[in-house]
Amino acid sequence: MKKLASMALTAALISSILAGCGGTASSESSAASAGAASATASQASAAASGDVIKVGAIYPSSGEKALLGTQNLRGTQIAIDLVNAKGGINGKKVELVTADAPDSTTAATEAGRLINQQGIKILFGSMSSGNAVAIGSVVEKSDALLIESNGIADALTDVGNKHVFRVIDKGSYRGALGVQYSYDTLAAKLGKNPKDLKIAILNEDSSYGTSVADGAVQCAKKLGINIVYQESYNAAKITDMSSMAMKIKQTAPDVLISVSYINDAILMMDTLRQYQAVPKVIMGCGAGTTDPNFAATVGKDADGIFCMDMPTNLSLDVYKSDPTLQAAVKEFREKYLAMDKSVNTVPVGTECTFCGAYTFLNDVLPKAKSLSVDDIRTAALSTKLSLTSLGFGLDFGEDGQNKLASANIGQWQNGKVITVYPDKLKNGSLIDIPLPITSK
Amino acid sequence: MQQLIQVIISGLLAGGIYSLISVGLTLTFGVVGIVNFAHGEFLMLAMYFSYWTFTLLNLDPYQSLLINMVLMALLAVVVFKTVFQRVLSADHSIQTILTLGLSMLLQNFALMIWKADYRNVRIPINNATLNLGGIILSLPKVIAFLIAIGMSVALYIFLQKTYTGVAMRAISQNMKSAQLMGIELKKTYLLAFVIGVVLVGVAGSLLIPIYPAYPTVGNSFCLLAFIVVVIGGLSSVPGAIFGGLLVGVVESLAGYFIGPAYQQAAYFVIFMIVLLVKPTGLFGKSTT
Repeated sequence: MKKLASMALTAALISSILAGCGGTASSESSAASAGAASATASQASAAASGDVIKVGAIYPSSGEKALLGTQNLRGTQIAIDLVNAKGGINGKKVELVTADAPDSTTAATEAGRLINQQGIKILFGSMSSGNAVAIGSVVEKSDALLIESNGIADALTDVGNKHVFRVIDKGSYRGALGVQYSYDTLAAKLGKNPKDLKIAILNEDSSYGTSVADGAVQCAKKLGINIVYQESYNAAKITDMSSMAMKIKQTAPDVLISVSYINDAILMMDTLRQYQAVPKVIMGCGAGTTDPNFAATVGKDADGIFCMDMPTNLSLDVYKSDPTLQAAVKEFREKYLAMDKSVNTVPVGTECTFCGAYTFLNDVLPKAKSLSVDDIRTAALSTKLSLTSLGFGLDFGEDGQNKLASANIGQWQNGKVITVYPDKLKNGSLIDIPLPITSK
Repeated sequence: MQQLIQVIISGLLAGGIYSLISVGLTLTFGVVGIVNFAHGEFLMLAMYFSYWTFTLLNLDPYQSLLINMVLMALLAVVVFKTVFQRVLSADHSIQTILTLGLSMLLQNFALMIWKADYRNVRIPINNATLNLGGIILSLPKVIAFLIAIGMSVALYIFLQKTYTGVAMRAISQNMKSAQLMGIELKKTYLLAFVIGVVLVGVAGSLLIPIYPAYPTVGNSFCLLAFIVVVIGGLSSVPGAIFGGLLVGVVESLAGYFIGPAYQQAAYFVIFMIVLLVKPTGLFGKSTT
């Protein structure tokens, strides 16, 4: 009986190993890092046929970034669905191959696998700057391109990459925007001379957080604003933010610029509230403070918090000059909200990935003479759009950065992010300055 | 001065929970002799159990504490009988790899059925604080600290004063002699493991009002627990209590005076010093 059982188990083990080697790849991650290793790359059809264009999407679907990664992937999926519904690209349907990348090491490995084993030339990504930079270095040495929609680290486009195109803005622009907006608009609302503003910066320590923080610091120095406290931390490992809350209470900044992912954003809010250290203005940035789950968890206290991010929840009127785009955005939002019942607005990361994928597949690829990297690059550099689904236009520089990308400043109001800057995209007025829960 | 006291007290409060998580691990390690890398995943599951009893039955984590303990006990029995019991006499490397595999299995199981969303339990006392002469104490952390220390002390008394507790200590000192004394190994192992998991289950209930549940939440706490157990001494409950509090305070002081980036580095330094100066841990005795 025992022998039979061990034979059965051995057979099961061997067949699972064979299945694992067969075509579905597993993403490895060491136990010490993110910890959850899962095989999530979907099966691609055997060989790339002439009627199909295979594209890859690399996002975390396991590990602590899985929530944001899953949201982001949906944006890419919906964009592909819309493009295919309109007949594909020059008659060819787009087929998506996904890969899981819980951390940047796996992101690089998976990018290599998709490029070398599946022959994929176009990769969409990446949810995190860490992953983006890792994939960027792989595509640069390969015959492939990365269309980046989430990672804002400056490093991605500052190192002379020719195979990376970033649709959204750069981290340093965002940090600078937050400080400039505080100087131009918020100081007056706080009844302070802009030069007397006190700013604190709390950022997660990957290339995303440091890019934004560096931009903020540079802008503050240029404007002569005092940075009273700056701290970075590891978003994956942080379990307690008491020391930071105490320091913020002690230094009493007017504006706290917070660059985080979601878990640390929630932890930060809770800790600030517990220590009665909430500053008058919180200027969050991307990923964390803009996600609907942030507001859902933090509750009413989220109202009044700012976020420097890509546009979200823009009025459809913004697109009235391009009815086709307007219809696409409307359909995208409806499809997303049908897929994800846990939110009532489309998360900003999803808006970004939709924009990246839709713009590239709808506007850039049809113009490419062939699917070689050089021809696609030529098509990308020659595509100039006055409007994309993110509310700004498209004009890639030689470094791959979209020169027309600009972040918005949004503010949580009644559970939704209302755009308050720039004026042309504004859909509400400022509230709650200083924050109602500011400690006296 | 007040800031220093605040920092130390914040550290102690965090340390109380670290102690409770570690006490379970030290018992498994010391008595059963298995390095349980899935320890963090039991914490994660306990947090999820608390979350679901809150969402489905409207019981806050303190009200559902007993239910959680029962669920964790059942889980421990199932895991022990199906997994650990088979490798009790196997090589340590096999046991370790098995627990690593169990850890990955549980994490991915949670990811599969509950997705990656952060699950928070929002109850009125989430952000409640006590103000003692200017020192701010987070109420959920104070409750967690008191229950954690209370249970750890209760465990210590159990180990000192009851027959079963003494039997467990005997096994951790010398398994063969304990058997010769008539102690039933398998039953005692099972009980030690169940108690260890139930305690980490309590820690999960105490943590959920403070920290969200998600599939990989166990990772950082598991690492911390191993550090505490080594600092305090394997199979020493007072060691785990003291080690947890020490790690909490060091983390808090380092975070405030040096920087959050150095929090982990600070307690790793203590860890290395202990290993160099007293490898058996501050309260550990050498075992044969």
